[in-house]
Amino acid sequence: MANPILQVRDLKTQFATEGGIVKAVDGISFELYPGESLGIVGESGSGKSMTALSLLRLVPDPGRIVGGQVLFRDQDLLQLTGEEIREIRGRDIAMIFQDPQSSLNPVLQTGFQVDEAMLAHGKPKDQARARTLELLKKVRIPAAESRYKDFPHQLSGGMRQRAMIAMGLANAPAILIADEPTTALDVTVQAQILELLADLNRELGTAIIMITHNMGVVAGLCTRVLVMYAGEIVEQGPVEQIFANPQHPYTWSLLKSMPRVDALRHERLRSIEGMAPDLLRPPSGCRFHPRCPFRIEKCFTNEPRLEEVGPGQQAACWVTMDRARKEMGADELKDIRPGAGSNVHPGQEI
Amino acid sequence: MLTRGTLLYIGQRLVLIGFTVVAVSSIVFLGIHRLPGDALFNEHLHGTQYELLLHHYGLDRPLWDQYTSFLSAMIFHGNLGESLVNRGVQITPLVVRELTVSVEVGLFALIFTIGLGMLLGVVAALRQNTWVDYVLSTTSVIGYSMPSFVIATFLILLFAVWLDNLTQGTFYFQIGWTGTYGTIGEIWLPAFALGFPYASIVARLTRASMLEVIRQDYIRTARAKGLKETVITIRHALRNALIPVITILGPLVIGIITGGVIVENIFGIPGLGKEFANSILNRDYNIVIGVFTMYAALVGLANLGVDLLYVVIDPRIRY
Amino acid sequence: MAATAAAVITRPIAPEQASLWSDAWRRLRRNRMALISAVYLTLLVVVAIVAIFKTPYSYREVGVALPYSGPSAAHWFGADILGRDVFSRLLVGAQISLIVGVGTQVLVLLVGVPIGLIAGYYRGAVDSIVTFIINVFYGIPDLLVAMILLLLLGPSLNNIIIAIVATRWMDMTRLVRGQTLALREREFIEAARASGAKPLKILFGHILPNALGPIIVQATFGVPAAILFEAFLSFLGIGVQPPTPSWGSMASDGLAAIRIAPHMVIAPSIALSLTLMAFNFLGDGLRDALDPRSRR
Repeated sequence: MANPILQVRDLKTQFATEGGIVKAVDGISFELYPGESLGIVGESGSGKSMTALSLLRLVPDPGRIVGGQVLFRDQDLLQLTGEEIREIRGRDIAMIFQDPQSSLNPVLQTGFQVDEAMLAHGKPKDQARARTLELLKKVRIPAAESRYKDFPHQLSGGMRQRAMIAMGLANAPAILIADEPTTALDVTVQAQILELLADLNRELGTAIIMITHNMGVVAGLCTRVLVMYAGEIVEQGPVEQIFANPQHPYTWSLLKSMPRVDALRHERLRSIEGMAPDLLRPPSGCRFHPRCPFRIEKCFTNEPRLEEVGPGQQAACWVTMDRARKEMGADELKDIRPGAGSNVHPGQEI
Repeated sequence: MLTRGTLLYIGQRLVLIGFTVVAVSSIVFLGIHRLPGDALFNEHLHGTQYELLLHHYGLDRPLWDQYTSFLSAMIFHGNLGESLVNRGVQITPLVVRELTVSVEVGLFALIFTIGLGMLLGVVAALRQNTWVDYVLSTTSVIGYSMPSFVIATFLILLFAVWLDNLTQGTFYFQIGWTGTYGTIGEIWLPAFALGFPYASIVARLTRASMLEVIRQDYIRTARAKGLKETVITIRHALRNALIPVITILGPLVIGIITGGVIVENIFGIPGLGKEFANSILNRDYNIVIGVFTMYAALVGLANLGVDLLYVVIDPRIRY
Repeated sequence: MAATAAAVITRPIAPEQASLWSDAWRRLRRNRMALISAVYLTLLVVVAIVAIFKTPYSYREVGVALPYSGPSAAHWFGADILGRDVFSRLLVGAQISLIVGVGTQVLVLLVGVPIGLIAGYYRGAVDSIVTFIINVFYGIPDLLVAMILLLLLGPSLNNIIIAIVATRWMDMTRLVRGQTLALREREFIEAARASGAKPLKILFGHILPNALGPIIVQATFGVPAAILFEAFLSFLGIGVQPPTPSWGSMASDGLAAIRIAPHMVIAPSIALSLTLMAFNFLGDGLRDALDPRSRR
């Protein structure tokens, strides 16, 4: 495989709050290869957005990146000066956000805001404008010339997000980070945007990091996926493998809670029980253990590390779904309520 | 921006202002002319002298007559009459000239107010909770709590009296006004005194507004694009932070207009405010009517200006 | 176990009153600036009342001190251009300011509250007319109108109060109207209406008591605004007439002599500033204390 364009090593981002230190991102490592689309999936509070923001050093106060490396083309982004990281932003690595309504400045023309992405990196005004019109057409905004002059509130949600995508791709970055780009949109528009992103990924070869809580989005767009929980990566690997054979109970629970077209009529839709982990005082041992149906005694005290569980697939779990399936049998597995505490008693060692 | 709708709106407002000016001056006119006749002259006059004077000013005619000729003179000829105290002085050129003087001082104060206030507000917001922020917050409370003549007094003490004493007469502020429009050296202190309370209000508002704006998502987007911090602050943050400030601009301009009355009197500035106070003290009723009419027009136009400024700043507003 | 429990619990704790007023009072007590201001204002009132009967020197007696002389043991704030005792004049000036401040607000309440209640309760044509009138008044600069009114009526303390009320009644009216509009939609008003209560009873028995908080705050802010207004008018010579002293006219006189006798302008200026700030802080404190949503 080609060399990765992005290598994240042991990234740690924390927030100092009144109650204590919140470890939003607690030592994650992963790689991104040129032109691939990587999904980062998890609940809110899992640290996925904070990871993305950390890559470009956009973490808001009172958050701080406290450790790790983010290697991009042999440079550690975390060690660059303010001016250097500013140059990378929008030019080599771009980011688009969840709510295009609030993410666009209401008092500036939409087209101008796309221009700005290029003006910030030295392109002259007329060239930027010409390219913006090209981009607006490329992201399939009809009547680009008149839309250029429109203000964000005059565009529909889908068009706003397309404009944001245009903004992100303006300088042909190597990486585009998309933080839940479809969550704030109508379902039909969501599909269009995802299709657009897939096409652009193919055509331009821009690597995409797609942050989402929706496994369906991952399935449609990504080739590899990272599953995050409580600030850590609990599983990662090729999308097809993970979907077919998730090893971490959390991943398995996520997939089980997804509505599926091919599910049997009588199968109930299960949501993951229990509460999202308190990041001020995360659970001891494996952070998922309070909600894990397959936990054993070890899970209460020892934190598992990512280990190879299949070709290119890693999971951080003492039990893994393979073993759970062996222990419980397929039928019993079907009835397990995702997130419910385990029927396996602590003290049982597998 | 200058759409048909906007032009229509401006037209409507101008008509409204016209009506208001006529109504206001009519009310004042009629109110004044209800006073007993001999209240109109300061000297004690008798007999033919008195009657000649009355006739000269048309005061011996029935009230309705006087009123209609006053109206037609004002509307069709822009003629506001003649001073009662200083015989022969035509009012219209007088008040127009004084209007320009007041506008000059007022504009200086306004630009100073908005400029300084916004600058301090932005700085306080960007340096939230540091000593800079606290100093500015405290100063602004003092600023808008104190009457303008107290501030003016303090400034005069500082720059005209103490500085004079300190530097044995080399540096000091000369209270006074040369010519019609004064010099920069003469205008800055009155403008400062006039604008300071309002600068404080603007600073507080800008600070609060900026604090909200910099937490907005679009600021994060701007940063993610790789824009420089100064560009983000000015082009993205400030323009949005200005919007609430524009809302108070109307009352603020009216405040500067009324505050100008006091400041002009303190510093001897030959503007509308000084004329107004003088004419009231001297009971020169004709000038009172003329000045008040000018003020009504000024207020109307100022309010219209503010409403148009809205359109420039916030593209979501269209008439 | 029981013994220790009995030893700890000595007597039952008195139940906390849940009323808005005691709550508010408690919150206000904790606001230091408001308390200091309240103390200062109380002192001011006491001193002003005492001054009705006795001041160190007569406020109008000329030549009790050397004209322009500075502060001394005999004359704490020095003397003015006519050799009058500045301190005594300050005290009488305090009376004037307080009379104007409180007097205007009493009138504003008498005028603004009923109009606001009626406009807010009956809405429709009545409200449209009231709103229109309010907007007209807001469009005209208050100082200028007040000056003309005093020209027409003649400067006297009563006329000053009338002029100020005539130009600033809208603030209270608009507030009361807003409160009424909001309160009339509440269920307890519907209940009162359903049980056949007459409008008058609803307005004064139900709506007004609930709007009392903001009304008090507005009046508290109205006092310094009125005092300031009177100071401006007197400063220009159109307010209180000599020999009666007003802090405004004293400042105006003092300004003319600022080079040789700065105390003449500094004394009334400080008096004014302190009093205005005190009222503003008190008003802030009351507003925070009475706002049920305040979380302090």
